[in-house]
Amino acid sequence: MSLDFYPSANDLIESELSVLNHLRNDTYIKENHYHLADAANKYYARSKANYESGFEFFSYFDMWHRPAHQGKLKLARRGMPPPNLRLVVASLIRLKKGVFQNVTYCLAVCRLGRTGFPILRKFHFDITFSSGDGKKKSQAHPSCHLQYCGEMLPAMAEMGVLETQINQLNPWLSEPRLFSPPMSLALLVDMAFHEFPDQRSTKFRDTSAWKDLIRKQEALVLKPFYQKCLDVIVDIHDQKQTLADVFYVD
Amino acid sequence: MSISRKIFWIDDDGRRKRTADDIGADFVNVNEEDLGETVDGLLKRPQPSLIILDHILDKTAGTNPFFKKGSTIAEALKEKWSTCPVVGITNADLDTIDLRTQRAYDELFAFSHFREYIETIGAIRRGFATIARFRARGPKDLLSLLKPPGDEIDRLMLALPEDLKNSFRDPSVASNLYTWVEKLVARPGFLYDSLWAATLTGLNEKGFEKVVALFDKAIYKGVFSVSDNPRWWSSRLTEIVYKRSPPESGEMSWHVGRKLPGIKDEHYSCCYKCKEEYPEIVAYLDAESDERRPMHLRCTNLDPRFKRELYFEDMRMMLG
Repeated sequence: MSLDFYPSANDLIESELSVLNHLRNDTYIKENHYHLADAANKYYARSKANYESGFEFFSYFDMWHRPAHQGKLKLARRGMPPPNLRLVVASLIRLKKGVFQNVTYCLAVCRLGRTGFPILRKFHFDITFSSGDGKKKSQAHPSCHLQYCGEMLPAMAEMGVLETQINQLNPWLSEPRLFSPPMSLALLVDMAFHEFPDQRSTKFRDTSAWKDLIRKQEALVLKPFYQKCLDVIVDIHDQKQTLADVFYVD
Repeated sequence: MSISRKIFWIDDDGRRKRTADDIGADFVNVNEEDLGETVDGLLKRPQPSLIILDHILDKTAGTNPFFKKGSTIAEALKEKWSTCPVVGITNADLDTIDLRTQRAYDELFAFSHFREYIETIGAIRRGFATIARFRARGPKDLLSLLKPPGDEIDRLMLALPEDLKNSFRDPSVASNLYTWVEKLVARPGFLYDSLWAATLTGLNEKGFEKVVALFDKAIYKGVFSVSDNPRWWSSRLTEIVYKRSPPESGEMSWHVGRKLPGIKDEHYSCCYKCKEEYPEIVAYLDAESDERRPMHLRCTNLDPRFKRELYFEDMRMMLG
């Protein structure tokens, strides 16, 4: 099923591919976050060849973040402190016969430990589509929402995150699902770099090529969403509805 | 300028005439000859399609040490015949010849392995002739000589060295393009060798041989390509493998490659370090080794011998 404030599957995947293409070809990303560049390259090839089955991406990048620092500060390469956090960014757009089944984006913040990667925070940004089969969900929730924790991603387990580390966050509890604007890959990566910045990532975010991508994705996924919110709030159809009336789905 | 089909082999060791005859070259024996005069005479003739030149010419007449080195002659020949490839051969250990001297030639081979390079030398000859006839209107035209997949052209343009971007009509373009293609062949990124290609598709090299025909359209057939040491466009490899076996959620090319016809358990790749399945990359055994094996990214770290380069795979080595 489609949502009137959400782009078509083709447009969304095309846009996500352009983001991967940028990440795989960017000097800053390649030099500083090899896994992100490498994954962008591999998932780009995967999704380009298999548009019809959707889009997938999983990667991570390591940053130094002062509040996560403990003990005396030691400088490593190029005068920077060694990274202490691993930021996982992932995306899954699942299609069936060209129709959205599921769209989810994930940001996880893990500590770079000597053993494993303890999860400090984990968020899912989901778009929920009605299955169209008349079956009701166990509980109504916003069609676009932010969820704290969510289930373990198989790729995170492969990366070395232990089941016990995610269990501490009680992933069985899906509620509350917070009504939230839709996410996209560039918006997710940009947010991660913005929230956990260093001087070089700030320069990367400031490049015109990256800003162009951000603006395009804002126009693609955010503009129609906010327009719809505005329409509801100013009540252009005189229906006296709340945002929850419009955006919660069964 | 007219270019003849001739190959000149300039050497002061007459025993190499037989090898020169085998490849159809005119052997120019400079033993006890005045090299300057001989080269002057050659330069009055039409440009040949290839020159093979002995690197050490210490049995020629005359005492000037400059004329005892093939590299000096190579530069003089290039001055006049800038679009003619010059291949050096030597019995000396290549590692003892400094890079500046090596660069005087388009390629420098050990004579003891000459027969292994015959196909490459043929590819150099054909490639230079093609480029000499080719009228590039811009750097993108040069890329067409590589016959790349359409969706790699933009990345190749970005990766193209500045000297090729700016001097695509310069007579040295064939030499520069050869040097770049050599790099594309040597460093995995745009092109993969059989070990990288096998690993990308989740197979060992024996397994890849079983399905190699499926990847015919991925083989590099551009300028300077050789069939005895093939390369595959990595983007075409993944495109073919994903189209034949669409991936399930979480699957990458090294998962779906195992679903190719005729593949059995014995053809699956495995990580040399941890012995577990699905290695994603190829890495050296250590920082001194030239032996490579399939490994997981997590079982390796950066090989300090190599610089990290945009558009190319990282060169890695097994964790100690």
